[in-house]
Amino acid sequence: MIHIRLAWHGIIHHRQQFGPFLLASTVLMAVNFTFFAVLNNTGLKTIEMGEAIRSVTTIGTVFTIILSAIFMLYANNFLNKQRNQDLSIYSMLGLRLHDLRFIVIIEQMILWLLTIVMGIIAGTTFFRLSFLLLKHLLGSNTLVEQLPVRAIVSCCILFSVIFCCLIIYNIYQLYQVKPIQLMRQSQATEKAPKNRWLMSWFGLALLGTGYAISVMTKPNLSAILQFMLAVVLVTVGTYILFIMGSITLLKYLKSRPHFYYRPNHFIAVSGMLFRMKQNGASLASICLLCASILVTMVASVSLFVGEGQLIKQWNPLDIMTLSQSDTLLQHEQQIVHLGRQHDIKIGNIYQASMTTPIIGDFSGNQYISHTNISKGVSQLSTMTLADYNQIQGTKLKLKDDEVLVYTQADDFHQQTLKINGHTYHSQTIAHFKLAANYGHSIFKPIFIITANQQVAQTINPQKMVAR
Amino acid sequence: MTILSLQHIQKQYDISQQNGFLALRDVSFNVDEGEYVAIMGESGAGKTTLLNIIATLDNATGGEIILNNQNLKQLSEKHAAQFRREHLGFVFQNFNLLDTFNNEENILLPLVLDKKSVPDMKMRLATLAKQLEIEGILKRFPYEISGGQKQRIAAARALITQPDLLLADEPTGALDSHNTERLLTIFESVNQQGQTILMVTHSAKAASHAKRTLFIKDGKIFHEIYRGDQSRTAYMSKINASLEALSNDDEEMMQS
Repeated sequence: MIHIRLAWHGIIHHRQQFGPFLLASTVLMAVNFTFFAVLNNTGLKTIEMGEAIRSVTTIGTVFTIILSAIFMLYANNFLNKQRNQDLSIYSMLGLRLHDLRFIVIIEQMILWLLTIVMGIIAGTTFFRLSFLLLKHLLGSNTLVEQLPVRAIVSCCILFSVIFCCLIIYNIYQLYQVKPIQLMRQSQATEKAPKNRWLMSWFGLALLGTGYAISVMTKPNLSAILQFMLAVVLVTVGTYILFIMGSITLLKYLKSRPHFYYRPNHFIAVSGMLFRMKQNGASLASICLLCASILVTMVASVSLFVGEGQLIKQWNPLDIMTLSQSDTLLQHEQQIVHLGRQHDIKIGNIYQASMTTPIIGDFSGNQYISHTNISKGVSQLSTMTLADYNQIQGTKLKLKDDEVLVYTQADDFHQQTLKINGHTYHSQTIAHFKLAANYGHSIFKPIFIITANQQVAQTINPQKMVAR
Repeated sequence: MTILSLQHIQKQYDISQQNGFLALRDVSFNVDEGEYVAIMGESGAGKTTLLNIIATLDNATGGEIILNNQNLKQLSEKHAAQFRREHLGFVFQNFNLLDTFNNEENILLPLVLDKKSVPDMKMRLATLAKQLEIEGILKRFPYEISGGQKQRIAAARALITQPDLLLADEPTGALDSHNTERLLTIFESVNQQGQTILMVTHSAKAASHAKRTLFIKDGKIFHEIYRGDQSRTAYMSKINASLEALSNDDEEMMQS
């Protein structure tokens, strides 16, 4: 088949162009593969906090999929000029449009096949490496690395879709290929890019919305979805802004004669115009990758720095037990017994009963509870003053309409607290020995200490739990 | 026998728009088999448009064009490609060789696309290579040879199909005087062997090798002169005189 030979010949002899293209597509496939493989690992679903790893990975996957699709389209453009030149010579020598279409399809299929094969090989290697790293980070032995068949399938589907888009785009481009252009070389030169105000503003709006969402989102359960939306908006917005916005800006500068007709501006602006047209997408990709590195770095650093505090918040005491029924005495005996067995001296034992937390949020001096827990930021528990005095070793007294408020971040300083339709005089306390986020949830714990159990129940009608 | 016949060819760009540009107004001429015709004119006179229409790469908006008994207007895209392959040969100013193929493969490509037999290819190539003096560079790549050599390879590619009509668009435009002379001599000798040639050119020297020169201006045939039995120098000075008349006419019009 002459078509296959011509397509293959083109790829082999234009390896200076096709090589980098294949390298890019292989690396992109490998990166996507790694993400898919982590997502599909069954071991990760069962370990503690595995769900968190999965949801963060999902965001990463969405990001890399968008990045891959755009970058592939961009890399494809590099091939197009050379390809169109060759195809128009073929056309001049008497190949019909459908022959050219066939050559384009075969060429893309060869590239697709090479990408898939090399991508899977590179991906498996990458994946093993990153999985070993993940295992080391988690210190987990239960994680088992699997041959990720589902990841291979998902990745193949993704890249087949991308290559299908490329084929459609290239065939569309084919209709612009006219051997007539060969007649005059000047027509083959690059056209000056077009001005696109609307798209530039649109890109800016997308970027702005993305950042606004990420800044304004409160750290609650639904945040991860909003964060995902923000990632998508910022990614798409950055590309549009770099590809079209940069050109719009340069064209605007060009349209101001007093600025443009200066020796250094003149050359810089006109040169940049063509360079930005060719390299807008790659610059945007570099920016996005840098941004994601920054995000990852900041997140990791803050995790490392905050590690001690987090442990303290989660477990302020060495041993904590929590029970909904009255079995605390049993627990205590068991702990003391275990301590004796292992020659450990048991220190102070604290006991308190408090209400199951209600999820909600402070708004001024009012605490609003949310029925939809995915919107809440805090969890509020109440306990009696008697228990508090016993734990802290204090002898405070409270009236019925007075409460003590403890917030972990020490961010509540109102004189009154309105809750469940009642208003209380409130006083903030700085320390509380039992201030534990015992559910290890993302909600910030708030404790309200009341005069007696009755008040505690009015504030929070939930059942009391002992601890 | 007439091989190419143009009757009142008109070409208008952007018909839909108000400021549609009329590249060709009314062009009529015939080319007989074995002729060597040069088309001259200033930039923007419509030479290339005319060549594109004859090459089936563009369509005329008015008039009739018959090439080798085939009305080009009735050709579909599919058949136009086949027609180009079987009946036309092209030589361009910028060579348009494929850098991915070596010179021999570049020359043979039209035959490969036409699925000719290998012995046939080799035979045709041997004859042409000798005539065009390119035997020594057949195994090299287009980017390894000089402009003059590239143009001879391109000429070989155009001639190897033994086309009914060889179309040349400024074939000497990118060549130095020595290589120009060499290419024009080759064109003259293949013409003497019966090859019909239609060449668009700026250069009076190139046109002086042709048997007939057409002058085109403002989308119309302005003038035509035959070489007849004149010497090349005499013919060339006549061409130069016509060119001068072509531009003087312009000035006269501006003065009046």
